[in-house]
Amino acid sequence: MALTSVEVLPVDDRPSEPDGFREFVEARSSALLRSGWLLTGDWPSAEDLVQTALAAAWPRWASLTRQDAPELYVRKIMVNTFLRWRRRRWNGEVATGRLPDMQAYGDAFAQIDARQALIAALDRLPPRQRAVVVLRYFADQTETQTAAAMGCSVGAVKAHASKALARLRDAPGLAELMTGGVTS
Amino acid sequence: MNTEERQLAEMLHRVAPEPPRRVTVEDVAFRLASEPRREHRPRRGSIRSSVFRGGRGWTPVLAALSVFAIAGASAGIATVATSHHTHSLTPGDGTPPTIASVSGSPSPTPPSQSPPPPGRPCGWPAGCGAPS
Repeated sequence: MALTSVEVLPVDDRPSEPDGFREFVEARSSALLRSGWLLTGDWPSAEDLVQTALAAAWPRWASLTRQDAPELYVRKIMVNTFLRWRRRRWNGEVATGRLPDMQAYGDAFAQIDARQALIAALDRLPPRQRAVVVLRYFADQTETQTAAAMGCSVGAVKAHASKALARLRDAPGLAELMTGGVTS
Repeated sequence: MNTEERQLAEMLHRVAPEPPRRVTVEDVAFRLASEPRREHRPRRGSIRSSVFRGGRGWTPVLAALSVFAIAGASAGIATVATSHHTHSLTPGDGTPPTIASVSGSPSPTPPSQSPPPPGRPCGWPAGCGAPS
């Protein structure tokens, strides 16, 4: 019989689940994971990022739901964790031409090319510009919400977004994607 | 959003793939349970809360107190030494006392200006009130 990760836990160490937490995770984990993938470029890191953010939100869940801002908080933790990782863990990262988690399934060559071009373009951005792109244009946060999540001013968000757009404009292969191309 | 921003947003939604698996509550619960329990740490820079919680929060307070203590002790020593030299080195012939420098630290109280002896130039244009 295969044991799941939860079954091996001592019962006393398992924290009690807050109300509404399960529904939030089930409803939003896909979108959060996709944001994590855009931030980190691979699924294991994206999962790690999302789990870290949700684990941080768990103890504060009651107050977060009272403020009606659980997702904003989770995204804030994700971005801050990502920026911290980039400072500490990934300083020695070496860019490679091939991404490790790219799997060819279906007629996915074009999709893989598109994803590879997207991740390569995002890799060219400094971490804060990348975070602004993901929050502002993928997570559809307003400039104010993005600024709150990143702990900076709205003006800084605008500046990061402008610089990021300028860099993405020059990224090879991305212009065709932006004017319409492969679907996921 | 302008056109370019809208195109970027549409492209991100279109190209970002669906995750191969979802994060579950059980994953999060396992992570929470397997994390080492951490005490709530006060925010960096919150001296008051860190001081009252003990630990390393006392360090800046002790550093500030030690600076004040050393400065006070230096000033006290300089004052005592200055007054001691003033009394002991004053000669009986009316010449001004020599101010001795003690331990190289600046004296907190300026030495009292004693009037120059009669008949000597004092540097003031109008003179020092020397008897004519």
